[in-house]
Amino acid sequence: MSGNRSAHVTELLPEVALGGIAGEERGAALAHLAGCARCRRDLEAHAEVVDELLLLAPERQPPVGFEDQVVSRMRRRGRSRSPGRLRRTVVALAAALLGATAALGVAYLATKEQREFSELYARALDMAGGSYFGALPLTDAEGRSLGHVFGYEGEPSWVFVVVDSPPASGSHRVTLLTQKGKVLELGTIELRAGKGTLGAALPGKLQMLKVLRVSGPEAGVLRAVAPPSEGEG
Amino acid sequence: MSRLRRKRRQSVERDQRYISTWALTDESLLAGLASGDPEQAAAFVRRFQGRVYGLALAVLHDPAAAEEVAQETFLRVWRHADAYDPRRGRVATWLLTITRNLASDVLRLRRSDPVDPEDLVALADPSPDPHPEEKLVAEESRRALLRAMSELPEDQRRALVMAAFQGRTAREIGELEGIPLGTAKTRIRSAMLKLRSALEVPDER
Repeated sequence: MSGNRSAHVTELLPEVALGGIAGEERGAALAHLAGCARCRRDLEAHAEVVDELLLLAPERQPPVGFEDQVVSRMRRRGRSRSPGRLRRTVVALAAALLGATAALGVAYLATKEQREFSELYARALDMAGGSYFGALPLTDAEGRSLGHVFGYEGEPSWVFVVVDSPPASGSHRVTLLTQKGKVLELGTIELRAGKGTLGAALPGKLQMLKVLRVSGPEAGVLRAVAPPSEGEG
Repeated sequence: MSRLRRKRRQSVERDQRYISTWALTDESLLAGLASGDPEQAAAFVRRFQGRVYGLALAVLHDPAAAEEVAQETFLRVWRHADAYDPRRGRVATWLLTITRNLASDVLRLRRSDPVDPEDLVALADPSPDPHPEEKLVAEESRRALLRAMSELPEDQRRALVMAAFQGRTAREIGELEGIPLGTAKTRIRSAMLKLRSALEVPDER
């Protein structure tokens, strides 16, 4: 490793610790860190500063009932889905497709563009008699999005996994945890500079998916978690 | 291990001797949360809800959005509890990192006027109910950090606050502040190095 490259990565480390670096810069920094213990220690020291900074945030108590609402949502999500609830599952997954905005309860269905989007979506599904197409973020333990999982409900149902986690490389295992607790091996993704894809047909309906995991020595563990059906339980 | 982390661990060990009969550690509560025990889940939420909601509110300045982000943070922690790695940091900072990431996603989606970083710098309120394992060292670190932040040049302080609390990248900071990307990066790096020095985290090279 050249001295110049080391110095360059050293300059990036505060941004790496702050989580504000992406793409090729992040890839270059992480590639260097993988082989440089000195920079890893340097990064750890920066990360401690960031930790302390976050702890400076002022405490404010949320509205009364907050705790009950959180626990109630955990209970609803913790219950297993029963057969025949695909429609509600589809609604919940569609909310996930719309992303965090939907999670915030922002109504998205009123505009002309969205009605046209819905029609386009319906026509695409009709092509092969499918009933749903959606996507979930693939995230690491800190919630950073490092890829996506696209899912299709039809005959057959399938998932397509897209990973973008530079600079990880090599073979990464893809497994699916079903709602019944069974682990299915879907295959492996060969990552090159952090990028890789895998498509796999499912031996059943898409709603069997509870958690999809991509795991390997370099990317760590990435997970996509299916949202619950609203109103279950 | 840095001096700061060593001191914190010593304080944790000291505190845990005093509180072991009546309080659970953060890690124990997290394990309880992961197990699905409703009482432990409620205890976990109670312990951290002020911090999580406080950070979300500081970033978003919108109580309803902050509450939703705070709820989603706890749900995400519950779902990913088995991925928590104590070697990478404390439960509180893991939780706050997730909160920060979710809140910054909301900020980007809204594309609204960003919160004035100076508002976020008004972070000086001491915690009204310090968490047991932190109280011996936390105030010392907090004071050192606040003092160091107050001594930063204003442009560096703004850049750091935008990066640390709003999850802004250097490119976004450059655009928001009307400065070149390189200048934004320099401000962030300079600020971080000064805070690091103030916290006496040694450069072990």
